[in-house]
Amino acid sequence: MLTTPILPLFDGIFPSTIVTASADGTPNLANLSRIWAVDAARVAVADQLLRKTARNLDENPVALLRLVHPQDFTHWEVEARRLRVETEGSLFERIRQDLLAVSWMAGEENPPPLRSVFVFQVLSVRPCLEEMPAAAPLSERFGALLEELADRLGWSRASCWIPETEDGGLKPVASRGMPPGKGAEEAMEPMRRLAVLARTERRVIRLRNIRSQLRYVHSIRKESGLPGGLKSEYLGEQPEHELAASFLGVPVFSGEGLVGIVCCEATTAEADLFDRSEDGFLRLLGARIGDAVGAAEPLPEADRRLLFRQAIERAAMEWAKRTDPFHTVLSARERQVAVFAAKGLTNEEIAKSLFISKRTVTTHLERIYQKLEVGSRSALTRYVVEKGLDGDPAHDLAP
Amino acid sequence: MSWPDAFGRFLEREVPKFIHLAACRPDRALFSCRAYACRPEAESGAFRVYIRNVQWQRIREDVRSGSRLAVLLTSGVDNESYQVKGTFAGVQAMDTEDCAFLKREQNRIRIALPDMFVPPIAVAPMECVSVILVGNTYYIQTPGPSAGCPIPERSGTS
Repeated sequence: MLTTPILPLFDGIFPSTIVTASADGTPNLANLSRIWAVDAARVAVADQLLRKTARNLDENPVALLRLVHPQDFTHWEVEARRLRVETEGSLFERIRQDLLAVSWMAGEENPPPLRSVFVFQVLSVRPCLEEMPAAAPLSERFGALLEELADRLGWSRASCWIPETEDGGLKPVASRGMPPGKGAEEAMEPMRRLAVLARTERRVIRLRNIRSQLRYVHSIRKESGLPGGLKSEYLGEQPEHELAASFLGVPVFSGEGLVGIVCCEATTAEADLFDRSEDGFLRLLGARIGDAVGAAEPLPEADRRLLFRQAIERAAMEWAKRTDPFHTVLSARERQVAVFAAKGLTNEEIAKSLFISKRTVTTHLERIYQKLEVGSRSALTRYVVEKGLDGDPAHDLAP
Repeated sequence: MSWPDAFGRFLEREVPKFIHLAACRPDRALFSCRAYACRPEAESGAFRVYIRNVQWQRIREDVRSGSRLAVLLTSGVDNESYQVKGTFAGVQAMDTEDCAFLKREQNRIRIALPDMFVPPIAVAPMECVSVILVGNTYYIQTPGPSAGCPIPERSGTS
């Protein structure tokens, strides 16, 4: 009943609520910091401060839980029946530890004790779709995306294309900074071609300073009497510095599926605009935007823009993290040693954890200091913690 | 009619408030939905709670005059929370004052949480109805030793 797609509901990212009712039908609401998924059919609630809820459940064991999905902010309702109350055991201990960890991080020295854990049988689960506003059309969603890309990355002349047919047909759904009216279609033609290429190759395509090469090809066609010569005012009669010279095509994926292609162009004067973004970042950006396009569907315009802004910033942060010397310069073993040291373990404790000698740990640390250009153990700790690199070192075996 | 001073002060706080409405059907099945604002009426002591019309349609058959309702209000910045339990006193279409109040609450959320998408702003006033609740008991729900306790203090004004 609790399937994988809805498990993020139980990560505790957003507070939840629990509704119960007394025997006379008086409802009661309470906030919960978290609800725990026990298994596919059971959930658990921690009783630290629940009074009326606990009394009501003694009279009427049915509860209605409301949780927020962290990816699209949909509310979900879980109808559940209380099975039992636990005051010890592995589940109780697990939840107690989770709560203690949060209290510790919050600097709470005397957190309310965990009195008991209510274990519920899940009766039904449903998304509260009736609370979601009408879906925004794709053109509005991609339009908001282009505005944010212009603000954040300076991509002021851009368009979005979505797959229309299985055989490679593409449809423009939004554009920005392109000439209006009669010349629009022709002005979009280079980007359409770029979008087709990005769709076919399923990768980032960048073409730098190809204006003169395009002109050369067009001239050959014209001289040869072939159709497709240079004829557009947009392409031919604008001052050179205003002409599009560099192009960038970024496929946007949601999971494995291609949901669109963002194409941008830059003039000769801003030829280095796209050089500032590496291919790896653009691939990451395409994935994060792809997630946001789906989540933006029910949102009003201002919130769509916020969501895309978050997606762009998230991609930038993830990329910065991935390209940090911690990942690119340190070996897998050095990363493990660095994380353990940042967690406060002594050299002896690190040696025991990794089954290596104390002397090897010292050697690793010396190399780490050198590679990361930090001067001390405390500087290394700051480096690791501030950049959020302190994941579980046991999992950090990738080179 | 009146409500406790502490609750009155909370209503006046310039913070975004996250609101839920709950009801219990005659067959004891529970109902809960997101509410988008709660406007107190000082003269009558009643509260106008704005919920989506589609949500109201789900319980309209089960909620009658005198039915028990509960509303939980939580500050979006510090978890200060209160619960009002009371009786249903009617439902009305949103009037001009309701629409203006809802817009103000939505703007408050936008200003307070600019970097976070918040669903309570994703509703138009015309999609809502105003559920009228007459409060009987008020509870502190802020996490802490008093959570779940009735608010003892009452005064003659809001």
